[in-house]
Amino acid sequence: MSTLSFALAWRNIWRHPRRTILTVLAAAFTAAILIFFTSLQYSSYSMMINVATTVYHGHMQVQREGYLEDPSIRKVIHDASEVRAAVQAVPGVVAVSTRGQAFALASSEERTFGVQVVGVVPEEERQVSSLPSNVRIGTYLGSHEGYEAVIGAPLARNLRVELGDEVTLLGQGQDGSLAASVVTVVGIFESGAREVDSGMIHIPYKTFTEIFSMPEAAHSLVLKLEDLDDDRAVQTRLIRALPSDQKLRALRWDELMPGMKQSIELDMVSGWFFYFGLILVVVFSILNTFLMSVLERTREFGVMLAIGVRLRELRSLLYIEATLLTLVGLLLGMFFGSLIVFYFGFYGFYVPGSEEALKIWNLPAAIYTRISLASLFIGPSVILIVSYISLLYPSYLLGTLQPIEAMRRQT
Amino acid sequence: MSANRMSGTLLRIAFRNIFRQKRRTLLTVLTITVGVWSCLALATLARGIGKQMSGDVIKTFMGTAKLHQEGYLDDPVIQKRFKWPDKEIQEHIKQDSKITSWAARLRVPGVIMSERESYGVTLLGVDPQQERVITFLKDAPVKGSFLSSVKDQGVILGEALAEKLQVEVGKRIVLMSEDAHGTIGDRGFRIKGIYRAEIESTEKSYVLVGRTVLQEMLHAKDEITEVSLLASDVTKASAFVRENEEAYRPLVLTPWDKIQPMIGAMLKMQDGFLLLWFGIVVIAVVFGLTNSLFMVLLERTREFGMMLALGMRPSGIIMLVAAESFLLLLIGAVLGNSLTALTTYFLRDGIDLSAFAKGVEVFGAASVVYPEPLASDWILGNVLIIGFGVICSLYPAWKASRLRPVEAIFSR
Repeated sequence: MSTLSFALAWRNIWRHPRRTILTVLAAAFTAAILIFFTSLQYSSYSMMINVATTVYHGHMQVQREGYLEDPSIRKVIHDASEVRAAVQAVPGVVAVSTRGQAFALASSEERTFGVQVVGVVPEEERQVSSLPSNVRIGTYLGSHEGYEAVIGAPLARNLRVELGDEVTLLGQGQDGSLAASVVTVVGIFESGAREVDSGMIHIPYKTFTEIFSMPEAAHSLVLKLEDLDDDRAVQTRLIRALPSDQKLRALRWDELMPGMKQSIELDMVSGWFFYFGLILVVVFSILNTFLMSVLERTREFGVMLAIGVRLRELRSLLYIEATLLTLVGLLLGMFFGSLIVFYFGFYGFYVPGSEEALKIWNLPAAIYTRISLASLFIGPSVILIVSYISLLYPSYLLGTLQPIEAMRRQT
Repeated sequence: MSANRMSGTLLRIAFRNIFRQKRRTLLTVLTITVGVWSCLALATLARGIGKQMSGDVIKTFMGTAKLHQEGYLDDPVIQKRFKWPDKEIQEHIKQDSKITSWAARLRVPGVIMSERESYGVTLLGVDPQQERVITFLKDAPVKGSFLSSVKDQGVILGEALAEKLQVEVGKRIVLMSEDAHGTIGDRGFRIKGIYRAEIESTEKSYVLVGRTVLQEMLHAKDEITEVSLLASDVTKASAFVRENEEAYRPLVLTPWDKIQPMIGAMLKMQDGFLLLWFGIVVIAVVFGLTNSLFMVLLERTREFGMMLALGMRPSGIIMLVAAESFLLLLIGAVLGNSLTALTTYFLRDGIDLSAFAKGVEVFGAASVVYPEPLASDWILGNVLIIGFGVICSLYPAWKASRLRPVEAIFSR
């Protein structure tokens, strides 16, 4: 029966080649569009996450409890080197960078600005962040001590300082004392991330702990993971590995940057709102085709019922026909959708008028799309499911057929 | 038959024809309706988000355009200040009927310090009366009280900043900034009020004190760095600037979207995406419509054959099919527009996006979005769908006109 049904269904859908081709094309078009747009979304998300994590935040961070919500200089990780060693030993962690962070006033001869001062160990920082490699003029910090600094290009412009100039840092130490020091600019970086470039100074970690009177302490340990998708597993392992006498937390990138996580979710949700409109349009088209194909075969179905074919079998014939037709369309769509994705993966996709906006988010003007299992299958599956639901109507119509009457009917 | 009567007859035939196969007509119309609705509802929501983003920027100590000393925007420091009050400028402002309100401020980067914490902020020396007209402070809730005059000795700050500093109304804080001589000036202030804004980053950035008080603290007596002008039609900021910039020389007048390019850039990107999406939906709708018209052609082969045999010209058949398609599109568009209007009506109290509050804030918008129907989007959406729909229906129409009468009549 089943091979017969398939043969029957296949022949049936080709009775009206033009109608079938149009319906197949509509399904293919929609599937291709969905695949392309979901790929575009996923690719831009991973680009955003990648840029944001490598510029500053890292894949994960270990911090004192409450530091993220309220980054106060007093909330430190004590015995930073011991904690660091424990973190480094956790499987899945590739590199760890020790950072001290404090707010201070930076003054040149002419100007004063509020800045974020970051104390780093250069060789550690190089492994977790792209900032050291984004030094455009001069060099990155040479060692973990000494009175030198690397600053962002816009900040250097605002302060009117160049290589070799001195910058005075004025802030509050961990114990509430006045923290003051003079550092020499040895490098100027430009990462493209505005808030980093225009408000950040890197100085050696040892110097930082001296200035802000917090020996052997740090504010965060910034982690690079072997695989970013593994973050939850590494987090669980980290929690076990962290010393229990300090209230420390291991935070994933999405916890460090809740704004980015939520804007991605918002974009996904609003995206599906639009896709659903498009899916409805194409499903109406598919439904139209099958409604017509049932109505025009009233007589034929009547005969089939009269010779003893059961209603259930007629219905499964309808569903097989619909599945064949939709699947042909979806497969075609998947093929062309992937082609489009590969094309733009190679040449990059430009949304007209978007260069400025993307630049402000530190993203290149073109988005290079990448196909993933999710983007390849989610759209087509939703189309298939919604069209199955819509078929309930023609399948209900089949149930109302009376064999004798149906056979008499002309069309 | 005159051309006029002929087309009248055609329309009548077309109208009757589309109701012959009710189910199919209904489905085709629904396809068009959903297509139109998808385009218009999307545009209406997107414009709502756009309007909100630009509105928030304008209300945050911005205005439609700002007057600055030349070069201030590249290097916003106290050295780029100018004399105020300035009779000439005030006279210009008074005479310009487009300007509804304005505010003059001294704006400098500074540091706020409580007993335990210190943060970088933007210090604004303001005239409180002006700010309560031109900015969001007009209807923002304030704990404690607002500044009373330019000489008020108190300070107003945002709730989020107050929480970070662990301070309350009545507590003292210290403000620090570079003064006009290039040295660091500081002064203690008592917190008079704590305001709330729609966007947390606003609360964290802006600290307000009396203008005269800040001028004294920074040794910049009777000097300011900016004047915000609010024009009645906010959407035409660039035109407003073009018309007026000459009058304010040597000061520079800059529209808000140049000062905050991010929002302007995002609105542009939105335009690009909307157009792209309109195009995609139009193609999907056209597939559905053409499909339906080919079914019509198949069913009515005999009828078309008969009409041709009776002497109707092929162009008449084309017109008939095109008219049927036009009617379907028209009904679908009317329903689609009504549906969007209904959607807009039901969402008039705003869509609450607070589940994504932090994400919305990345875009600089508040978490409640109000739909904003824009005539140009609606016209474009309708014209695109009806226009392309009719154009694509010409293919099945042409096929119908090419039928051979005799063969067509005896088909089946």
